[in-house]
Amino acid sequence: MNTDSSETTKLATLEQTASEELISVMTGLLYPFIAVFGIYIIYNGHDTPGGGFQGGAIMAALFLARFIVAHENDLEVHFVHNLEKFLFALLLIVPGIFIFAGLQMQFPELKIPYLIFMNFLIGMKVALGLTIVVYRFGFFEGR
Amino acid sequence: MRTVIVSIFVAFLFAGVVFLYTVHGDTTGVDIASYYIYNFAADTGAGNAVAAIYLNYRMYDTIFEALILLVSIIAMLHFFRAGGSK
Repeated sequence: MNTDSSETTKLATLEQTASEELISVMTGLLYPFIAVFGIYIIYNGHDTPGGGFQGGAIMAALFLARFIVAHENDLEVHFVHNLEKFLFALLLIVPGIFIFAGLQMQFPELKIPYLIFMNFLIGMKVALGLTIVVYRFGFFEGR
Repeated sequence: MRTVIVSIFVAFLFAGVVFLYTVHGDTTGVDIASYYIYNFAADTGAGNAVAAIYLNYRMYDTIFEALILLVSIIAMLHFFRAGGSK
């Protein structure tokens, strides 16, 4: 009886690791596709539906997939957080120079590069922010 | 205790903002909407009116939206300390 139950537990753990490995491998295969899709959404955000926030959420899915695959807490939360603050500072400075100071009237050819750059800033900021949230909840709050 | 006070303060702030919004009932009207629709490509160079609005006409909106994300993450790192490395 005793050995029987322990054998069932062993079988269950075996099955669990097998399915986890399957999920890990399949999710690992998705990395480049998620990255390319996110960059595409951000890069074409000024011409097609999408943009910084949406593409940033997709890029955060890249780190979410990494959380599922590797399950290691090797993210420097404070470094990422400081990086996010730096991106926010850029997000204040660039429109301040380009829009509020009226530079867009003098250099109309910079309008589209400005839109793309802003979308990239917003996308990276959203991706880093959501990554911090996912890692924080996954490793500390979800226990 | 501090958390409770902060929560009550935030709840009052939320109620105040909602109250202000319902009281003044200000709307922008059709003029500005049609201006955006007909002029966004020439004004901003974008092919997508949404991008033109949130990155040019309504830049403040985007800045404060990004600020909300930053503040919420600061709040999360600050208040949730269960087992974290601070």
